[in-house]
Amino acid sequence: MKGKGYVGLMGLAVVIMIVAGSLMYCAPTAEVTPKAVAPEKMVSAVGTPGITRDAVYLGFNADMSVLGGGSYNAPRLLGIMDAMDYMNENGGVVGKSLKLIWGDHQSVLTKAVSYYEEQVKKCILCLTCSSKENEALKPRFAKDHFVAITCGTSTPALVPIGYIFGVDGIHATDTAHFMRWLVKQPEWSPEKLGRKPRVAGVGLDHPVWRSFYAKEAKDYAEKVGVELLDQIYHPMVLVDPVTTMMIAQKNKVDWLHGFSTWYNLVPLMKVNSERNMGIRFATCAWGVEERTIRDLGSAANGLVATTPWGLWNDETPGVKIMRDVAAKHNRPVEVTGLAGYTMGFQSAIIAKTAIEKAVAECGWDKVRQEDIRLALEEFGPTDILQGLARVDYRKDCHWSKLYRVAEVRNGKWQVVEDWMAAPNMCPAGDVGKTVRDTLGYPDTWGTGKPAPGYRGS
Amino acid sequence: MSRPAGTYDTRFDEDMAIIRTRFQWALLGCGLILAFCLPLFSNDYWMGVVNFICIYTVAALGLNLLMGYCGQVSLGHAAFVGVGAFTSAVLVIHLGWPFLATIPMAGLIAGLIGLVFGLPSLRLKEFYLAMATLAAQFIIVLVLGHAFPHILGGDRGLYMPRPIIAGVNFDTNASVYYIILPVTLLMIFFAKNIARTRLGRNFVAIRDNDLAAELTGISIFRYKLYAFFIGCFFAGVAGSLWALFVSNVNNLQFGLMESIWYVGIIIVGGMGTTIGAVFGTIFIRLLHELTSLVIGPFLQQFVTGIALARVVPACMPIIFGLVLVLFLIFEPRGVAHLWEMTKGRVRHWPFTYG
Repeated sequence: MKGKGYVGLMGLAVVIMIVAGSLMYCAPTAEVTPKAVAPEKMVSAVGTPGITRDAVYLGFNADMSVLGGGSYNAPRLLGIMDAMDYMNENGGVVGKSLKLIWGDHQSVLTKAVSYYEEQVKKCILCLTCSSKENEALKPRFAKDHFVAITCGTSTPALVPIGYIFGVDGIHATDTAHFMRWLVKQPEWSPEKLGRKPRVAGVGLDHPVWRSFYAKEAKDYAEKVGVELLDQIYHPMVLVDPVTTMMIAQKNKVDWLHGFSTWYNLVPLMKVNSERNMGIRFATCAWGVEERTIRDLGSAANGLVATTPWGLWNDETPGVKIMRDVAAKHNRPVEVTGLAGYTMGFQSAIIAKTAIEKAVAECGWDKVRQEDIRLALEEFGPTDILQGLARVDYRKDCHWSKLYRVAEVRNGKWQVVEDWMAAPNMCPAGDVGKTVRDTLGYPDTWGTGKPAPGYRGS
Repeated sequence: MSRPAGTYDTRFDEDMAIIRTRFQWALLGCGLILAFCLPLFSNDYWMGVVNFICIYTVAALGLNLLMGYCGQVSLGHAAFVGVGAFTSAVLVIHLGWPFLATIPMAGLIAGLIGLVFGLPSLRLKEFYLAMATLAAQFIIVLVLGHAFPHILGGDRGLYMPRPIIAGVNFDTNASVYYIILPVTLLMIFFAKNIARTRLGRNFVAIRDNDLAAELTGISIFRYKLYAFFIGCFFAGVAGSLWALFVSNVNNLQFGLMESIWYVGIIIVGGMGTTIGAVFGTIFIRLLHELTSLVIGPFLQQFVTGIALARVVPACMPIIFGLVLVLFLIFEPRGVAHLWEMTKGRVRHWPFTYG
């Protein structure tokens, strides 16, 4: 390298430092506490991370950049922050305000591990997404007794039961609940049709997408009388929806079901509508989005979804609060129209509820990360923020079981079947098993002691 | 290779030594003591980063031997890391092997599979070989995800418990470092010495001009296969350490982007130098941490609303890429060359010309 090169490199470094320094000097007050600001001194008598004199810290570790996760988790981050803002304005959590430490792991496992190591030391619990990262971090959550509330609800992440709690059912639950609803519809019952309704999966050749059609879902299809074909694969960015739809048509598919959100559903349903293919569409909780209706117009009518989350146009107090908070923060439809926002809002409220329960048992001084797991396992059927969502966590069930079915009618999501328990898609061999029972970990893993005074301790 | 000022070699073994002077021995000793004492000064977060640096270093050393020394392009290196990871996990979980015994076996299996995918290298070069190794990347990852689900775990992958060796439970980032670090040092030592042997010189001859190398009597095919075997052996060992540290192996962890990053690491570090693989890994991983821990939070102070969720995550990879591009423009021969230049200047100071 010639001398000129060195001068250039040094010059660049100096310019970056000057610009960075100037920006830091002029920095306005942040909307949320940024990670750059070191958390205040921890005050827990038992050394629990994330508890300071005035605040309690939550972590959020998810992919906010890559297309699939990013389009979901970016609005989710805002949903979490808005929910925290709402909670802080209404007394916080047992006298302390909620603060967030978040990291975008970009679906890079090494980054996810780094953020995990940071958050486990600074937060009382964390919120996560991405099945792959959840599965890889599962042993660490168990070892550190650190709870994750997640939307990455693949079977391996949730069972054997550890410290991960899903805000959705095990992925195959969405498929099974849809099939259960389908055969109950007069026009789709096998008796009326004279054959089984034919449902095909659609999505990526990827474990998460495939897990919607796991063995348990296929067995359930057989049981209720649905012909569940395998998945029709397409890439993440669907540049050729016509081929996917023609494969479906060629296979005489009645329904296309998938882990599909607006960016997949819109091109597929558009082709279906333009070519009068007459194929019906169904999606999971992630696909209950206003954005799909906005982009598709009348072609969105007839889209069916199963979901344990609130619908944006529900008239429950909880959803009204969420809408008001979003309006207060001027969130555009690009944010609020996505399921991630609703789910983020909801998961922050679940976290707050769990902390409140745990603190009520043993107080701020004694509460541990382990107690958050115990509190969540004691939830049972719980209404989250007056109708925003419902969860039913138990010791042997760390995922959502209560679902509704919604359909787009006249350009609006409408509930077509009210809350009810979805079929259990936990693999038979894993029922009631815990991380410690089945994975051969050393005995010390996943056996954290509850705080002194905690019920049952 | 420059020597410290005033140091002259008088014997052949001095000429061949890696560590030539007492000062260098002292530095090495201090460095090793520092490395082994690192957990005393570092928290779990940084020990996690250091463990990943060690694992990536071992894999990058292998790719450097294959690509940097022998000139055989490989875009499937992460898949071979995956083979090593799955080998260790299967041996520990299904056959009850002690973890340490699985490390060489992971390297061996990855090396043998590397041999198979190295066969096309006789007929293919450069971009065409890159395509063949790209095929290896996809084939291996798909096989790991779909074949023999009762053994390889299918979509679920495999969970490998951290080992208990001689009563010591290696269940923390700091404790597992004491397995990862010695293996890494050993592999660096092997890589350095392979590069200095006839094998290494033949690799370089093939890289620089394979026709001329063949005319001098080097069996091109055999040495290319050696390169694939050795490169993939290193990848397999790295995979074994990956399984140890992450505790979960899943085919999704060894995708194409990982392979591209390995290539990036040796380019940034300096291809064809052992120290380059080490520097490249440290540079890339610390740059990752810098964007995550400093730049991201820094940007969070200036944006609010929807931009906070959209702009900040987007800026981090952009800044990461920008720093890499600028670095390569100003120092295309990598960090290793900067290191050599710096050493030369220090040794010749105050006569800094050159």
